[in-house]
Amino acid sequence: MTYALETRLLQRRFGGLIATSDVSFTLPVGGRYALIGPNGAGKTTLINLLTGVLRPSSGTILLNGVDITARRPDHRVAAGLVRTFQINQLFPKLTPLQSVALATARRMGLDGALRQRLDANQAVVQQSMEVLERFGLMDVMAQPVATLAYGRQRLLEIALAVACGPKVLLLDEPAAGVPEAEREGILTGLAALPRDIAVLMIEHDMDLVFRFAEHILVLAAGAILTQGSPAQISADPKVREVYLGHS
Amino acid sequence: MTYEGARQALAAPRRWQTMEFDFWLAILAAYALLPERSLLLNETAILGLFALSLDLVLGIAGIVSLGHAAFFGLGAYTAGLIGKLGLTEPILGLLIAGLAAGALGFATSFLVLRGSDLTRLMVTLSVSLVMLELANRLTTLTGGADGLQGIVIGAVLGTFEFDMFGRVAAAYSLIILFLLFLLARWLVNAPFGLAVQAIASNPLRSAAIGIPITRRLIAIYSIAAAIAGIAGALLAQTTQFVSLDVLAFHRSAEVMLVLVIGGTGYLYGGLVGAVLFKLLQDQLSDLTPQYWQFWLGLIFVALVVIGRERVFGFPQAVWRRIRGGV
Ligand SMILES: Nc1ncnc2c1ncn2[C@@H]1O[C@H](COP(=O)(O)OP(=O)(O)OP(=O)(O)O)[C@@H](O)[C@H]1O
Ligand SMILES: [Mg+2]
Repeated sequence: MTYALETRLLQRRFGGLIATSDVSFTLPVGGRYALIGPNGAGKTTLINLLTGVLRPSSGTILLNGVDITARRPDHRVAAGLVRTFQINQLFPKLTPLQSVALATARRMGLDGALRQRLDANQAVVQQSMEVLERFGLMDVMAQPVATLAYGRQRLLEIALAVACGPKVLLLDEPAAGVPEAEREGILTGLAALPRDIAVLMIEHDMDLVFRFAEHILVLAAGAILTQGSPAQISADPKVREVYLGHS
Repeated sequence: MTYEGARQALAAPRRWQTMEFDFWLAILAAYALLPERSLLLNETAILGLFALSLDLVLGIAGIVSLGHAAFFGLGAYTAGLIGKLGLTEPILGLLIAGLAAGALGFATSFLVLRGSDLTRLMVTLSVSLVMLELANRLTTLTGGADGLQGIVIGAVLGTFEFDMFGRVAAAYSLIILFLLFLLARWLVNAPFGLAVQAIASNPLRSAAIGIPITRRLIAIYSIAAAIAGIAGALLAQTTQFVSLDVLAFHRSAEVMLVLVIGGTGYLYGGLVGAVLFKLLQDQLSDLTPQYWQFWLGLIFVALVVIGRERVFGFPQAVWRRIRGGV
């Protein structure tokens, strides 16, 4: 069986530190997975490896059964592997509409176009609006991103990735820094995603993890400690020891 | 917001502003009403075009450069040599000079685009120093320190002979400036331009939404280099002389200063900066023929320290009142 995403013995060293240690896991098509683990466990490093921001020291990454370990980051995105960032990575001077339209245009292969104009392209405008609507950003879509409240920026962080048309969506702590009351919007936006998109969500908010994920991977000191259903994970004493005990 | 609202919001940046019409009308008026200032106007147009090119690199693409004269100089020498060799049609000369400078931009972009801002400063500076040294050594081609002489330039479009008052020269340079400005504006407002601005603003995220960063930057850098080359070619054609000065470091520094004075990233900065720079230079060199550079420097330091917004904010506000009253 081919998985949406698979890693085989992925490893990454920073000098003497092994930040990712023989990580092998599979994410099925349409899977809703969470990746949890204490601070410094290597979660972000794993996403950086998967998306090509970092090169692995050894190991293999497969996207829909195809080895992408040596591919450039933008090629991985074109192949459907898209991420968000733990710390917002937005375009402060652009508007949410421009940002999302750019990602949409990129998906359609129009980001290098010279003679086209995005506003004249009905598909770009329509689909950009759909994504903005899904994340409740319609009312601020024409304001510079820098002027948006943090919670809205956090939603845009996800919206931008969704606009890329992912087959596999990697979310690095989407709720980080978002007040309790505003976290609902994140789940709402994600719930509306097409079912064939596989999602791997890193999150410290256990409530969010348990409501979202059908399967949980636990990372500790760079290695996969254990994995299983939410019920299994919450009952696992090892997990309590390294993780749940801390929070 | 509705579909129409979104469409209009996306189209907004490329809509022409009243200020833009005013700017070009003012240039036209200067040409029509000040025939005795044609030489100054020609120099201003060339400097403005050169600064526009740097704005594409620095303001739009976020690539710092201390060696932009490399392209200006190559364009100047290319146009000059072509003229000397008997290809005297100026427009053709501009095109060839633009291609040559664009090719140099393309070739060096691979060096420039890797590395940090500091590396980029060093690499761009080095490229221009290498070009200067080449021009200095290849005396049979460039005339070395004596400069390239005996350049023959024909009439523009076979009709408009360059005159000694610079009327044709100024018109020619201004029209080329305007056309290339339109090109730059068109590029920046295309999806390509939006992608380049996104890269300048956040390369990490640009890559994460799938934009091929290096390819886009190579493209904009090469285009900007070609425009700088055309600016250099205009200088060679309208003065019928090229010296090592076109590749000198102070030319790279001056164009940077001009752009920073006018403001980066909105395409008019280089033009406004050039007008200001040339006007001040002209006035000050009349007032104090020996110390004008000192006063020019002092004014620009003041401008940077006090802040462009505060210096220009007042005349802008006045202008808006006048316009509003009409
Ligand atoms: N570029 C780097 N160079 C050196 N060490 C690094 C680098 N990136 C990460 N590390 C180290 O690798 C380890 C894993 O870091 P990582 O950011 O992946 O953790 P994390 O699980 O995402 O933590 P958090 O929950 O705090 O986000 C840490 O010890 C970190 O200091
Ligand atoms: Mg992290």
